[in-house]
Amino acid sequence: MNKIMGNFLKGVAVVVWVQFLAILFYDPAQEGVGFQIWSVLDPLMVLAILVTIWSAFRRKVEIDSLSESSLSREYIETNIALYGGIALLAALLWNWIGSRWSYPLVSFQWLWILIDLALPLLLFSAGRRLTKTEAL
Amino acid sequence: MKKIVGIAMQVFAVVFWVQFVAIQLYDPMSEGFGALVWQIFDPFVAAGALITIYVGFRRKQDVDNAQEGGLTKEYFEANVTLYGGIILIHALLWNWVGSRLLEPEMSLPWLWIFIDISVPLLLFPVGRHLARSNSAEQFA
Repeated sequence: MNKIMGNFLKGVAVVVWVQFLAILFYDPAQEGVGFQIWSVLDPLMVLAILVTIWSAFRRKVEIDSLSESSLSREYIETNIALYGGIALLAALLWNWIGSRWSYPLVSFQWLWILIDLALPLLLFSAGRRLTKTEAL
Repeated sequence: MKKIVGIAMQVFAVVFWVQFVAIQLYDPMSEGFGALVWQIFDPFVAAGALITIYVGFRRKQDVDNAQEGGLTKEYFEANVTLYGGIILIHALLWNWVGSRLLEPEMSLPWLWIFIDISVPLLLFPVGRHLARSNSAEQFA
């Protein structure tokens, strides 16, 4: 199960990274196929971030239960994944709801850029971690 | 007292996170009820940031007084809390004063986004720390 979820996260990360650049070649105004692809990717991105937050939360609970006080890679990675995921989810939901369902439509282009840049970094590292661990 | 403040900060952080996303559904232009909610929340955010700075300062003092020379979780968390809180109150006051008291044009929408995303990330862990802390010294 971990392997499947990990590969899902890595897959979404790579697709978003490629789509972010490729759309400039085939639909720079984002009004045609490019927009439709983002429409499909957006819910997958939300789902992937939720998986990232959940796995990071589980890891954080484990780390916090240890008596270890020194700074470890595990501690840094877990906290970045958890708090980064929460921040990214807030930004993504805000822009996604604002650009699709709110009236009038309110979203920021620069926030999409930040989301699209940060999301592959967060998801790929979390996915790699998941595929390497045995238990979620 | 610490436990109550800690729990209140955690609850506020969650409510704030939800409000940030939910306002897009009921008042995306932030001109009606959503703006009123933000007006109510702003002083609480300022209070939360001040508590965060105070807690971070006390923790940093303890860390700096300790003999431990290596990198510890406490060192990392104390510094993130203190400096994160200082940045947050700085940005919040600038945008808040700009939007409510001086020129609305002085308030930057992108800065509100960063503030609104940062507030729960900073206030929740500090609230959690306060609620779990057994030491009576934090608020002394």
